[in-house]
Amino acid sequence: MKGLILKDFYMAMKYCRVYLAITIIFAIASIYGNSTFFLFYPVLMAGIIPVNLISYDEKSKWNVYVGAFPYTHREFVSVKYIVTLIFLGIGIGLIAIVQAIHMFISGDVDWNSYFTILSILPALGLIPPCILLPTVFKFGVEKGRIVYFAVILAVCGTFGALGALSLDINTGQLLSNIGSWLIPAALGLGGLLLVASWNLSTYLYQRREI
Amino acid sequence: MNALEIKGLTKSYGGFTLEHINLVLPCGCIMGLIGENGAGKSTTIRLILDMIRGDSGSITILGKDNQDEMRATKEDIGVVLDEVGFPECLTARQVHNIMRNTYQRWDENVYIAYLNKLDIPRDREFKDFSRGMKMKLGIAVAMSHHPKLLILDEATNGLDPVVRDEVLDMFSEFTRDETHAVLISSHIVSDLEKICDYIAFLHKGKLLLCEEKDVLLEQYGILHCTAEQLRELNPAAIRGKKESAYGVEAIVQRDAIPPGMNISPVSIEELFVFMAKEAK
Repeated sequence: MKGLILKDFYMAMKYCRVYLAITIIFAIASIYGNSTFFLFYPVLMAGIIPVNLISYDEKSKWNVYVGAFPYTHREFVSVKYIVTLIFLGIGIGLIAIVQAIHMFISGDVDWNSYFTILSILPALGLIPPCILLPTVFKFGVEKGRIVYFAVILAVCGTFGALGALSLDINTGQLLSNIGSWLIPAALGLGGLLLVASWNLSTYLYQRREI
Repeated sequence: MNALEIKGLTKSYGGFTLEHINLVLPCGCIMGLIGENGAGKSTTIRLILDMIRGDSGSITILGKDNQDEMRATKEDIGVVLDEVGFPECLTARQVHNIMRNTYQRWDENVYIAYLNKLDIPRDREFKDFSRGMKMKLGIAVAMSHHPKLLILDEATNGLDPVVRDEVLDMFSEFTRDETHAVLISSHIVSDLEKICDYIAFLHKGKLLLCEEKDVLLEQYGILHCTAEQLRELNPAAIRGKKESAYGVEAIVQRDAIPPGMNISPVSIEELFVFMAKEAK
């Protein structure tokens, strides 16, 4: 499976540099702004990258050609989830850094809110790819893209609305009101969603004839 | 041992049916799969590689059922599909890095030797390759992990005559090792006639014949006669015919034709064209 990961790494370095640049710009913007949209954008990007890679796979017919090599359907699917987790990790790492900088610059050091945000992010970040990937593996990127845009619009709309609300509501205060039970629950739910989506994608892809 | 055995293979989808295919490719041999577009060549190859599932029948590759441990079996197979589908941004050097993490027996020296032999640039992106160059890279990749069976779907398409000849020699050389075998499909029948030991004709999902090439060339000939003379012959001996104002040309079984008739040697291409037309 290392070969497949390396292939996706080469492709991501070539095709996803723009996303990386946008992610860094938005992350830096979140240091000086108080918008939730800027805060969650790097995480949102993590869900876009594997779907884009699948799109390029389909364009080059790699999704067919890979059948010539000693890989199983499960491995082909798993690589996209591993790539998702890697980019999600990078996105969350970036947020962790910029939010720490944001706290020190603003002088509003609140580690409780900081770790609450970081704990919830994996679950939030997993929602778009975990919905998208089974659809893409079942129908291909073209049809899956319709679902993809619907999910992105919904997520952007939600975060945009939260961003607008944050003019009046302090995110830190909001998060401090969340019960401590919610963090493990969110992480558990994220993990569950990941496992369910991973297995569903494998099941659907094994039955798809390309 | 046989490199490939296909028994009763059937697959239906979208108005097309591959019907009850039976093939045996012994080790040390090259089999040419000939058929027009849509005859079922690529479908057969995808079924062999377990890329799609058959409705019935069995496929055995190098003694192993292709439904069991196909991942391990693919370590012994080199494949070139009609479209070499490497992502456009990759270079031959990056393909090497990917493949050495893909195949257990990937051989860097063999790969580099093929890149040199086939004149493939190492640092140019795949999107800038011509179709022929893409095919050459596909062939280099397929042969650089010490496979025992090569499965080639239209692998010589897009190659210029000189390179095609060189590549065909490489395939012939490959089967000098008696544990190796090649299954190759192509539209260019003359290529297959040059290198194949066995010929299989596919037409509209049906296997018209599968036989040793030399047997076919001995067994069949082109009969030049009149329409009346043809009618007097045993119909079972006639595998295809072409009538014109100047007479009749028919592919016939030599041993079923009375002596003294005008029979000339037949090429594999003529045999296929006549039989395919007859089967319509």
